[in-house]
Amino acid sequence: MMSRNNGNDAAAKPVIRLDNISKHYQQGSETVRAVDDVTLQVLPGDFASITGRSGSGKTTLLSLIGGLTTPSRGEVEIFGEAMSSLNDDALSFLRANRIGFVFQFASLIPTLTAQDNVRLPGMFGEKPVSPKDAADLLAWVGLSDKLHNFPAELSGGQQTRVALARALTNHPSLLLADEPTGNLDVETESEILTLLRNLNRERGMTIVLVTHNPELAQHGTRHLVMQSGKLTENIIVNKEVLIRE
Amino acid sequence: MKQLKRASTSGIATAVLGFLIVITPIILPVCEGLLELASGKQVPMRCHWTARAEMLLGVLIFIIGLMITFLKNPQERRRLHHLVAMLGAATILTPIFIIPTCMNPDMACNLATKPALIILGGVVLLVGMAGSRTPSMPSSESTE
Amino acid sequence: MKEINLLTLALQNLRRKPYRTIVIGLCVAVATGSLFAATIVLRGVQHSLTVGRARLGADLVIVPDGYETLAQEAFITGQPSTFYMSDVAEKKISTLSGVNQTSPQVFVETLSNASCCIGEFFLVGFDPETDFTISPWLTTHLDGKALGPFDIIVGDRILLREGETVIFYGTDFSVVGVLEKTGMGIDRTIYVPMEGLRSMIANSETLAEQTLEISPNDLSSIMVSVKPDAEILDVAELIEANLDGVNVFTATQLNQAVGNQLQGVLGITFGVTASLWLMSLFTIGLVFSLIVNERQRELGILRAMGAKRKVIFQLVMGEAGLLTGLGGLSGLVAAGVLLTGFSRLIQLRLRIPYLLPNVFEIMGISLLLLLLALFTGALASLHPALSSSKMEPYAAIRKGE
Repeated sequence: MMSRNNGNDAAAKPVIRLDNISKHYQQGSETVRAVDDVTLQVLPGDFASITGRSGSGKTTLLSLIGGLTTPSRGEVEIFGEAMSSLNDDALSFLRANRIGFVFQFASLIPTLTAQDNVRLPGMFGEKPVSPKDAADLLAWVGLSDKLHNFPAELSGGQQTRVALARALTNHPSLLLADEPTGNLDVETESEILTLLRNLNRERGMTIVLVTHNPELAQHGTRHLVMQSGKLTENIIVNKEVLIRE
Repeated sequence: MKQLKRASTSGIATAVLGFLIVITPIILPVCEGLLELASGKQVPMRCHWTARAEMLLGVLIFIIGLMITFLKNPQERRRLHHLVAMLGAATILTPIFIIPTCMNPDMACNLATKPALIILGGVVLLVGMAGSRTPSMPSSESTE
Repeated sequence: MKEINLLTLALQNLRRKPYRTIVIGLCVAVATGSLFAATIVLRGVQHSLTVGRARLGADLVIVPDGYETLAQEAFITGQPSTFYMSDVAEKKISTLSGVNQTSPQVFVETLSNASCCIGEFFLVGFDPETDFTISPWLTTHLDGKALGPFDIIVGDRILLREGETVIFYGTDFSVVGVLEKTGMGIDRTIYVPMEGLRSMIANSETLAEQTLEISPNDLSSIMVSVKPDAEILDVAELIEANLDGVNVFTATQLNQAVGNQLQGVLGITFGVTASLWLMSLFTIGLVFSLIVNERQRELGILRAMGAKRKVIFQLVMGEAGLLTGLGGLSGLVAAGVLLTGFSRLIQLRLRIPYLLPNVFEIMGISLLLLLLALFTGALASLHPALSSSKMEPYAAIRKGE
């Protein structure tokens, strides 16, 4: 049975915990603070949206959460495990089995069909993905008639749906989406958002969505705002957060 | 679109091979001498006719190659590929069995012309077989 | 696609840029094919020399002074030559220390319009009593049956077969056997018992279109076998010291003559092939660096999907290996087909003895060269594979944007 709380229940162990994490780059003689001293918790069932201007550090923050890069300082904990204690193989295992990623511009393999693109993560997960399972996922995102099409034959919105299906292949507990609707029209953006909302509400999936559109953030449960690498706002949006009992 | 591109490639390849078969007896000529019959008449050697037959086959392969390149119907292209395969086989068999070249293995026709034609015929056969096996269904178009 | 794995993924990646794949594949194919061809020709020559030398039987060959080159040419390629010396030479040689056995041979060139052959061929008169070149073959193939004076044995490239009859200079001969292929001049030689040959020479004045001006005491060469306890070179020196007007060469010198002919051609071929390999190595290395750069984002996303570093490494290396492996295989097949088709032409143009090595050796050489092609791909792509696998996923995704 599902119930809701206000996101402050101490009993719920966070899916994501960031403790004073920072990420710096050297650009010539300058040090760029892409993420600067961010502390954050994301609870199970949260649908957190991160907004901010270009270069505010939201994509870097998402990458830190997903273990795609290591922090210069601080600790990232995912599913109760400190990422610093995991070696590359363990991180890869985590990404293969518990985290799903959706990127801007989809980045599908151009020489694989939609169905084969969805099956791809099966190479890295615990078991391969059958053509039927891939077909079911594509049907869920509304592309049951596009199984054998190549990415070049699909529109931007359709490619993003395929990328979403691909991210769900290994039944992840956490979905990280980096501007998946960045290059899409308003209508298609809305369709993608509906799918994400369904994932969150019907399946209880924890989602972190990076978006340039502050309006989209209103559809989640938590709105985080980044500015110059710092987390300036952390708003509970709908006053309710889903947790499992 | 991909189908059409593949067919054009195979059509062009077939035409080029046909052209090469036509010019092979020119670049690598067969025996030039004449044979004197018992009656005193002088006739060209057997390989002269082998070369003529092969050049005809080359012309046919060239023309069919062009047809494959410009035809759009996949069924018709497949049928033409079957024909190309058969002509490839004929190109191989002609200098060996149908109009065999001279008996002496050291003669010009056997040293260069015959092996070149057999090799080219083999390639034509492979191209024909490959082309006759490609699916005939056109790929679906995006609707958005 | 039935299965999605590293191999199918690598194959699909190669199909993405078909022209680039074809060009690199062609580079590797040409390098592999050239090396294969050069190696097979070299081994073919060595094989032919081994077989031919065994057939020759003689340790030393004595010919008139000044005709060494022509004689070697005759043995190697079967190009007929006629030269003569007195049979006194044989009588002298047989008395020298270290000489086990001698056997004379007389060379006659067929007329250009002989019914058996187009072009000139070699008639070699031999003494069945003393011969040790043909006789071993006769013993095994004719069950010791006596050879008649007009019974001939022909080389593999003569267009006559057992039971057939042929006329040389107006005299009838019948074929009793065909020698196995050696790739050397023996294949274009017709062996005639001395009695039959002398009879043919004598009757040529009345029966043939052209009279043969060869005296009954004329010999073209003397085959010498050396005693087991004697040194071949010592006996050769002894013969040259005791006889004027003769030239002595050994089977080894015959090999050297072939070697000298081949040196230039094979040297250039191996040199060119080595350059092609190096060029392929650099080209593949450069291209794969470009490929990895191009697909940085994609590789980063594969990492985001859970691909381990090892998998990225294997994917890049696998692509290179597949490309060079397929290119190498194509080169081997193409070279094999061309070598087989044009082997006789190559032999004639290069004027070399040539006998295709046995199938196991050919397979062994092919396998080695295929491994070399794969190794080239692996070596060339090592750095791009390592660098792409080590890169942080986020850095790779950002770099590719």
